[in-house]
Amino acid sequence: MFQRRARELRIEPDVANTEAGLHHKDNVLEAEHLSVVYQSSRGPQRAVDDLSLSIRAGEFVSILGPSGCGKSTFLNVVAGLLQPSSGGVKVLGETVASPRADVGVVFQKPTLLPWATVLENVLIPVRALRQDVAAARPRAQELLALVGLQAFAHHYPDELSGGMQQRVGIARALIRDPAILLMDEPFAALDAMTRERMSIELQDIWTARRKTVLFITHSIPEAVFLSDRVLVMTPSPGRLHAEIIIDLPRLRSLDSMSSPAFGAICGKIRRMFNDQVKAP
Amino acid sequence: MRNRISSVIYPLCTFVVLVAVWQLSIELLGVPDYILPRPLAVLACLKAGYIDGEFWPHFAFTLSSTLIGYVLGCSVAIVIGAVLAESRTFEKSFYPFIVALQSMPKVALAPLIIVWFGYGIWSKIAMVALMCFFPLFVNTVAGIRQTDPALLNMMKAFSAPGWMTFQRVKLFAAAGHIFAGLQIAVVLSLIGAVVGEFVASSEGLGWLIQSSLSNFDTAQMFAALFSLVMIGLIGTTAIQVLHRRLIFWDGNKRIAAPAE
Repeated sequence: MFQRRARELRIEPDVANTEAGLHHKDNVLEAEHLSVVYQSSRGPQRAVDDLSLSIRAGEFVSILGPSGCGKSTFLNVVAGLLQPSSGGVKVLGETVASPRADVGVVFQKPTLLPWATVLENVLIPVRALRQDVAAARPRAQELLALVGLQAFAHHYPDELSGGMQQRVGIARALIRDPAILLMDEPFAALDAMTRERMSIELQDIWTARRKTVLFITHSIPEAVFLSDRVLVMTPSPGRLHAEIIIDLPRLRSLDSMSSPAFGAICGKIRRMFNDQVKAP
Repeated sequence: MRNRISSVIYPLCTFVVLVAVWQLSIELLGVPDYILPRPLAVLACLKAGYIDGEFWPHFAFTLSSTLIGYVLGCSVAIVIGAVLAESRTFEKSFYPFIVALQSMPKVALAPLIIVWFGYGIWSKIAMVALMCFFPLFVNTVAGIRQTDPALLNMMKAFSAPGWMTFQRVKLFAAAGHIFAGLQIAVVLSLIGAVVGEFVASSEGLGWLIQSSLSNFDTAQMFAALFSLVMIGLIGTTAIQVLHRRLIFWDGNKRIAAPAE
């Protein structure tokens, strides 16, 4: 129901952009010469500098970089939470000016409402658009089943472990069936064991739904394990340093993490960061 | 279970010992009745007051003015606090005055309130409402302001309208603070009611204490005080139970709340 409405809303600007010849049909996300400058006490700080990239439908792309390289800033621009200083970001050919109905965000912390049940939390994005909540309930249940939490629909967040809470966050981001799923270091707050398991589960979800995903992380193995492409970002100013195509066969398992090919790619990326540090 | 029994028995023992010391010291030191009444005299006064019934109208007067004033003052404060926390213009225009009012001792307003609201129950209700207003107002503003910014950011990312964020996030986030305010307001409301009755009244437990002064009836003073303590205790306990029932999600913060 609401998907149809969202698509109808999109038609007009979509046509306008195709006419302008800027929008490539199968690109879900396009960033063009994007720069974000912060005003800080030490003067203007360039968080993102002249960043251009595009993500095709169904692609899993990671932005990998150390803390403070501007990768979360970029995600906030895509989410419509932050205005760029110059350049712009387009989702399905439309310039992002404010949060969009067809973008789903998974945050670093689960950010669930502690006073609402798991099911109610998943339904928040539906309520936010004043859409029919009753009609969305079966879909919410289905998504909870997808993330393995069907038995916890009526529990409260503090009854769940950190990993389970983050899975609720994923179900919440998927409830509006977004064109792109943005994930801002979603597993950074979890312990190492849970983190690995979550990577595998996310791959399963991605395989089942074939969502376009923009995944932000500072973990090299996590990025390599999950992605079709890894974009390496370097800090101050935040620039794209390299693009690495991960051609490891799908579906990847924990065993593929210990394969020589996996190790070689991780090693290559690690050397990039080291060179960056050594460079004057 | 053992814990529950000891939490009843221990204070009971303390109470019995205190009363015994009280009674004994009067006997041994020969303190006259008009300075300190015997516990048994207080008990007799309570019995006469509540069983023969002459205390009940006073009890009802104080209880109803406290209750009505409490509900009125607290709800007005929560509404104004919420509006102020949400609107910058409203905040800039009114906050300095509210802060100035807050630093004034509210009981000093009692004579004025009698002039404005008369000798009857309305001046007492107004006094109670005034006393309750400030803790609730301040706590509502603080509670809404300290809403986790990550939650607000999340609501924004999903394009939630402002009223929805207020209703589903900020109000709940502020609930713990609001209950802490409600707790403080119980005691303050009783102070307001008693002060109102001290200044001008012909009824109420505060008036009863005041009028006992003319014939040094300290036993009656103690009996009225005891009644006030009961109202305060029951009110505080009721708010605590409500708090625990309604605000189920922040168990740890609740224990740390200063008002408890």
